[in-house]
Amino acid sequence: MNESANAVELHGVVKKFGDVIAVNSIDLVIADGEFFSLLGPSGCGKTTILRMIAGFEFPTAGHLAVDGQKMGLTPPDQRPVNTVFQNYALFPHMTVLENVMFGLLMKKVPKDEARETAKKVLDQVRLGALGERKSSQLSGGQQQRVALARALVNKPKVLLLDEPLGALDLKLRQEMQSELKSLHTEVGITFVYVTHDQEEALTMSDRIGVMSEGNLLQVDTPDRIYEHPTKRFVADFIGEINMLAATVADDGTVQLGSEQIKLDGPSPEMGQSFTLAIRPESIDLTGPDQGVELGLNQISGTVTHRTYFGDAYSYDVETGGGVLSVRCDNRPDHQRFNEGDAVKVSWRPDSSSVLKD
Amino acid sequence: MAALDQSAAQADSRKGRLIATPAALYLLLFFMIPLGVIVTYSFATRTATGRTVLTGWNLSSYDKLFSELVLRIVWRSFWMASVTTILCLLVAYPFAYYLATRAPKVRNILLVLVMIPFWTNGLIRIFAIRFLLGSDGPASQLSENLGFGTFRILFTPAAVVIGMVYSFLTFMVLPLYVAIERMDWKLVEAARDLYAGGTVAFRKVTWPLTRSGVIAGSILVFVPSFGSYVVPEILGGAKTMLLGSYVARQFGAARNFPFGAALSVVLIAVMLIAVVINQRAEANRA
Repeated sequence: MNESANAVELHGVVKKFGDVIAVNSIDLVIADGEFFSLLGPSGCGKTTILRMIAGFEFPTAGHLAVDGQKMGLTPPDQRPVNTVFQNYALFPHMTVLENVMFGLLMKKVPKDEARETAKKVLDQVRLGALGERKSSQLSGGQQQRVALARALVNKPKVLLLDEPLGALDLKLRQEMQSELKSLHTEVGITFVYVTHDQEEALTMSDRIGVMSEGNLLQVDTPDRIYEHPTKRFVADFIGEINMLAATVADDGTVQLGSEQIKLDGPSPEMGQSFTLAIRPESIDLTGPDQGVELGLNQISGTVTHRTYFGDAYSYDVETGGGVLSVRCDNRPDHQRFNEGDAVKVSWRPDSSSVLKD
Repeated sequence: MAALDQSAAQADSRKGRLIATPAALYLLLFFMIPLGVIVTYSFATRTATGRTVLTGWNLSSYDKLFSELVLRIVWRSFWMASVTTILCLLVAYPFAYYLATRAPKVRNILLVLVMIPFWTNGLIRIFAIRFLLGSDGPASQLSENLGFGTFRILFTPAAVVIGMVYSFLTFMVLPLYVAIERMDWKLVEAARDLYAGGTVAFRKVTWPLTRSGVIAGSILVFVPSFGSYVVPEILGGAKTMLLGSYVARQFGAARNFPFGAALSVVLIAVMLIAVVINQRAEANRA
């Protein structure tokens, strides 16, 4: 054990399969006790990173450390990590209890002690009564919890989770999300969680790393990732967002089409064009003559389309800066607009983000 | 509606029966009836001239099964079939493992290579082995050139085992291949992840999960080895008489049909027991 070490460190890690670059020179530090998610579409390299941490694949270049120790070619059985596999990979020829005991017995824990420890962890995931069942006799959610217990019983330094909720239906998935989160707090183990589901990543993680085509594009807290994406892909992949072409004029003002707006924080260089991103729910919609708070960006426009979502309305507003999608909560005081109405859109300068491609 | 469903189901089952009819007739005519004849003959009487009379049913043929000569042949057949099975397993498992872990394209080529000997006449293949193992054949000459001296292996039990391993190896490779190929490799990774080294992961996960293939392959090799006739006839000397040859002799030179039939019935019973054991094992796992 190394008290001050980071749980996982990747330095310039590259993984090639033949000519295909699966992971492209990644630097990443995951702190001890963190719930870290790797988020991206399938084939983006997130699972490959997980498999390299577990020891199922080895980096083509760069190096990787777990708990402060360089891993090199250390095989999986000698790494202080455990994995929860995508389809659980429970041993079908063993009972639930035998599955959970497996790691302990491999570490030469005496059988009686292993059984007691395994039972305790099964109780912890509320499966205490099912120890004698075969894994095939369990439901998907129960198998999921056995897979968790089987990994956690070994008290690994890092728990690796490979899309663990992917095979569950929506309701169970939401239940397991909060269960996983509280389990993480309870056991205090570092979680590295791989998912393509933005909601899972946003709700559970301390930090998220967004990946695309082998590159780690942005690493940040969920709110920063959602509200202030730095790359076009990150903005586009997570939720809905307006992306508009903007330029910085030579006098330093920012032009959004024919409109002039303000940005918060450092602007791009003068004379440069860039992409302005803003979430539909960060934009307010008001009547053309209504007053708007000082300091907000405001542009007038016309409603071209309205969609009803039950809990919200979505409007497409044609403005001098382009078409903006605006989302308004369907509250009792919400002023409804119709297609063709003249409106004013407004947003705080710090709600928008400047994207690099 | 219900009536319509029912008549549709009846039509389906009629169609099913119709499709199965040719095979059923064939099996009835060429398998069930001869089998019945064999069972009947085993209770019949052999006259002094070697004719079989279908009167005076008795168990004397079965009594003879316990004579020392028969027990010795059964025992020899049993251990030679066992050795053959074990050798096939030792050779086939690593190969099937290799086969199952190749890319699909390579795998298909290798599978065809495995099947090719099957498309050649079995008798010719065994005679080829006889030539190979002969006292001045290539194997012996190679051994002499390497300084190990010549050897005499033809017409010994070793030659018979070599021939049987060669003849039945495919029956071991294919079920093992199927079992290994359909195994979920994530389970081996899970074992490695839970601190099992490569060897332990094999012993605790790969082996138990491919055991159905081991059992199926072993039965498919053991059963024909136990009753093998062609291989011991060609490669074994007069001293290595096996059950298959002994049965054939009863129907041939010895002209003792009831005794030959009784031997056959016992052989079939042993094989049926093996199949039942296999199915029990399968059912327990599922």
